[in-house]
Amino acid sequence: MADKKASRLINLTMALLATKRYLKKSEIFRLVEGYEGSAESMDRMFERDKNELRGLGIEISVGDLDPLFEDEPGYKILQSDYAFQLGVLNQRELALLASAAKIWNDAVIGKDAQSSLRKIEGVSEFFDEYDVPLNLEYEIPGSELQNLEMAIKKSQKIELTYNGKTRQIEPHRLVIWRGFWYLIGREKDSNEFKIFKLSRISGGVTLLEEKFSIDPNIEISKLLPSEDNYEVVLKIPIGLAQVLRSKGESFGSFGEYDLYKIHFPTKDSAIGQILKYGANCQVDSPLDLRNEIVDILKVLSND
Amino acid sequence: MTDAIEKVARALDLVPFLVKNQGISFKELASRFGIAEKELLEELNIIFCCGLPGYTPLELIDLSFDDGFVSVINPQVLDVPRKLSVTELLRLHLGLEVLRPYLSPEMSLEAEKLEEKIVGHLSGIPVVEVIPPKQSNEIKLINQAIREERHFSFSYVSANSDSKSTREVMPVFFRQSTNHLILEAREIDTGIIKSFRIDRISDVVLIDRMKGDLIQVNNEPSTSYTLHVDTRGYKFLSENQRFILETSETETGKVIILSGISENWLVAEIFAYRGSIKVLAPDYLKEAVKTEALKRLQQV
Repeated sequence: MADKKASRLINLTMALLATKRYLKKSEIFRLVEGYEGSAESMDRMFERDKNELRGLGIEISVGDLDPLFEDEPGYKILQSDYAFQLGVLNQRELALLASAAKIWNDAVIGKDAQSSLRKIEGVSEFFDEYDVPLNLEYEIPGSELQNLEMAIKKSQKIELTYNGKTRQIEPHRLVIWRGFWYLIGREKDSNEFKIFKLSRISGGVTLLEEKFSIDPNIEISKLLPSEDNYEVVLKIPIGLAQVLRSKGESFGSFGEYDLYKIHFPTKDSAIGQILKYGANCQVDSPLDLRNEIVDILKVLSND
Repeated sequence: MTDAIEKVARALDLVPFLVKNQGISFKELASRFGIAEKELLEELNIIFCCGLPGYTPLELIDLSFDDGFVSVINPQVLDVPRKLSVTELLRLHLGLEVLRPYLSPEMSLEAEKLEEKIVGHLSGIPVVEVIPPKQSNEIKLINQAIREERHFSFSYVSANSDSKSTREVMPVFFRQSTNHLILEAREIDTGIIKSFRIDRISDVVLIDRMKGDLIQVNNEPSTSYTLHVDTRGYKFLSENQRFILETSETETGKVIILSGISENWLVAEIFAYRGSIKVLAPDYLKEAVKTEALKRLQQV
């Protein structure tokens, strides 16, 4: 059954591509193999077929309305609407496109990338791939990605659960940053632009009926977390803790220690990095950071 | 997409693909299109029976696929690849954006022009943006070294040895881990392939020594470590998957065995994960963590 339908759709595509003039429905039923049954069932079949082909991105032109044929429209597929639209590409461009498609091999979005790759490979004979020495281990977005893309394209508000709270959001942009996917959107409750990590969205994304206007001038960089919000003063023993030294600036010395001012994105990351790289270092300020580190060291020394 | 529609989409892509890739093996064709060989055979049989109105042998698509290799003799009107859909264009645009920082200046410019071409076929603003990595100068120089198979030297801040030193390496590839951009490179002094965080690399200088001037490889078996990781520390698991040999579940988390890592690095990670990772074996490492924590407590 599926094979029969597939054959009919391929035959229909070919007939509409080959024709120089618009084909009337009656001509299609007579000429294209696969249309059978009563006039009504063929009619229904054709309507479904047109929708299926349009769903594949194949544009079917309707035209040639002729009063003598009782306004029966004609159909054809224009070569310019059907064929690969990026024009003539040189070998290097083809190779770049192939590499760009291959980046998404294992991701949810890989399916579309792979279908584009097959089309690209139909443009030219085998071409040398531009071997990009890059092995991506990007976070792989879940199925919510497609809903978010659709919501942005259609400027539709969404509802989602993030960090355990249900929120209504105007989704403006998706961002890939440091290997993670984020949504930039205006949250209804706070009426502020916020950044949401896709991996922290739970329970999917619901598209709401309500529309909004996308802000084309949104400054993504200003919304991403700044790297220098949390200042820490550390006493670093002379010659040690090179990683922490490389992140900050020395502003003096105190006995056997150099004094360093280091900015971390958050208090949490300061704790992690000082514990990881700061053996022999002392936290001079802030005091609450010092206390938290002492508590963690107590846990580790009792294990 | 239904089964029939998927077959139609594939058939419309298969024929022009074959026009440009005549004589491709059956196996490779199936793999390129991501389907089983049996499925490919069924689809080729469908395509073989399709054609233009009239449907005489002269009007049918003519394929040859009996001898393990596939060729198209007459594609009829299906000799051109289909138009890229909006989603496909978006994926390619996004892929080029990701690639661009890693390309040579010349290729980067070419990629930018391609992106402009793609955007010309899209309406509205792009849905997804890629924030490029910092240190693009270092990346470009290293990329040049990879392409030309040349050594390069650089200053590196090592967390393991708590030192800043100059290294000479033969670069292999970049790896974007979930948190950092990593360079995998063979260190000339030791002959070992090591991972270097790009944000700790500076002063890159290309050297006129080429790949092949190498190398004594260290084949000593590495120690394995058994750890308990509770749910707060699961990020450690995802970031170090490639070193994990075994995993088993417990009521409060996971027990893992990992190998191929530096002991100093592991101790530093255990501190960074602030109690969510506990050493189960070897005992000496367990003691080392305790002693280090006590030592630090006295200093704080």
